[in-house]
Amino acid sequence: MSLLATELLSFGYQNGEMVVRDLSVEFPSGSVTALTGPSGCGKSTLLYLLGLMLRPVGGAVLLDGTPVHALPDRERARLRAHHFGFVFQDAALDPTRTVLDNVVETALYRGQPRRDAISAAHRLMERFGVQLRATHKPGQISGGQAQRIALCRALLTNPRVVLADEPTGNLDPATSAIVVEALREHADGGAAVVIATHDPALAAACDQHIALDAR
Amino acid sequence: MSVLGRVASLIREAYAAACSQPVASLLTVVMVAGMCAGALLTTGRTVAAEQAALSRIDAAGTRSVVVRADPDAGLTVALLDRLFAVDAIEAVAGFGPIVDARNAAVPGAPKVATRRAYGTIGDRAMVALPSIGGTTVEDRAFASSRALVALGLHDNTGDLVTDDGRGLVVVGELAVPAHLAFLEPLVVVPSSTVEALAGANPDDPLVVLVVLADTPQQVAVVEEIVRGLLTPTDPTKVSIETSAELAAIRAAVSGELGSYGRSLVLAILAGAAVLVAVNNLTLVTLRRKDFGRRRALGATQSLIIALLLSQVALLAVLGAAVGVVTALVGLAGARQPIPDASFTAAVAIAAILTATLAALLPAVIASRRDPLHELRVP
Repeated sequence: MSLLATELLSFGYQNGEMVVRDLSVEFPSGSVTALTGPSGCGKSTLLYLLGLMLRPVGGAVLLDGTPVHALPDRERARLRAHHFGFVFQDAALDPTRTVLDNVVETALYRGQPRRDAISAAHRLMERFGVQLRATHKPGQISGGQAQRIALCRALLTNPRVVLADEPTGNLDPATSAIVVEALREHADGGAAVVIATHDPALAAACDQHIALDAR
Repeated sequence: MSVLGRVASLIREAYAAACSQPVASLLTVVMVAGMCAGALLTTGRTVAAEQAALSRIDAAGTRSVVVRADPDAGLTVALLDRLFAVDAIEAVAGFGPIVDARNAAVPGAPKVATRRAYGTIGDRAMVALPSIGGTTVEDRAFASSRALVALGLHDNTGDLVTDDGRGLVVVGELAVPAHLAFLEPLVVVPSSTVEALAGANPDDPLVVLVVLADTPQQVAVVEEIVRGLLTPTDPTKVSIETSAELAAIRAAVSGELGSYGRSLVLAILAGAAVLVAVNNLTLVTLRRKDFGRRRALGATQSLIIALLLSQVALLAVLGAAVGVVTALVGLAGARQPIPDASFTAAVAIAAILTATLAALLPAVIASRRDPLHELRVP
């Protein structure tokens, strides 16, 4: 039984256009999966479906073999806070808060004491070389540093599933390598990592490759 | 984490969010401060003036019924015991015929009217004092401050001699309540018994009877009761004065100002609520990506609503404090009436609740932000 899986998953927008159709795929524990395809083919949509932010119009999303796609919003939010980590293409940091505040943000949603989260955050920031930026605002750091900070936020709780939406899209090769290596290491620890990417080299380095067709 | 810990985390996050959005936060504080100050400087001032006016009207005796009678009109001490049993009556004081007296130590000194007194005057029961030395029960008297000055009794004690040759000993000062001020300068000889405050001698004649109703609204009822209990031998020798007209003025003042004040406060609260709602709607619109990210990372809709409401409530508390202090300092500086603490607190609490409630719709909108729509990069 895979950690994360879909069964005949389908999703369409209100205009009737189907973005994902009857997709059945498994994301085993310890694997890194690449989602590739042209822009607009539904990579991000699939990530948001897997992350329980969208409800499919058909099929199911299974976590540990249990359908979770139709749970009440509150339950899906709880699962996201406790079991999922997200890395967005533009880091999506809160520009008004410090780097440290951004990294520990999810502690509030999990009900974790902030003090504990801060200890873990410092360890991760040190690992990714952004420890000295802890008190800076996102506007005072580079794009590469912002993405590493987003990575710290995603890995803070050691999530079982990490969903990354083009995490290296705007990064230089060196920073891209750091991000990919971190995601690889996290998968090696038993998590399922799913990466939406346009980068053929990154896709080739993944354990599994799902190519989505243009609509 | 415990519930208390979660609440503390929520408040901490709300505080941090408020600090990170200084312009929107400042606007909320200013709006709530304006709400409080506006209410206090207009309605608060009116309410304070109303309270002062009502106090003056009350001091004029809006609750009293005064019966005057000739000594042979049949108005006697026996009536007092029956009046004591009426629920709507707070106090009854009866006064016997006047006998003038002067300071025994100063021949030719000014005279002051003395009266035998029954019932209660202020918080003092007119119980006859026990005999001490050569004086009898009826020898002892109390004098008001005006009477003490008129009699030249600077130590609040001294001997008096009445026109009919009796001696009286003034043993202390008597505080005269507002509804008995018309009797000043007042010297009274307490004449009730301990067992029945009014019943020293049921046949003792009274020339003045003052009945104090519990409330101004009960004056008319009390007047009717008094009239019903009076059995004068000659009705032409008895007159009754009431403060019913003053009570009517009091009711009118209270009703009109109260209605005006309520309308004004509601208008101010409604206006400020709209401004707070618009301010927060703008904030939510400008920061939609922030709320989309929070949802994606696991914040429940209820948490986002609670977060935004807590943020506004914290700012509203600060705004209310600023508004209250500003208004009170302004009123004091302009030497205007200052509303009492209960009204001020009510305005502050209403402002905080109104502002928080006004943020509910923006909070609900924020909680429904679609993460996919807000976070997707073209």
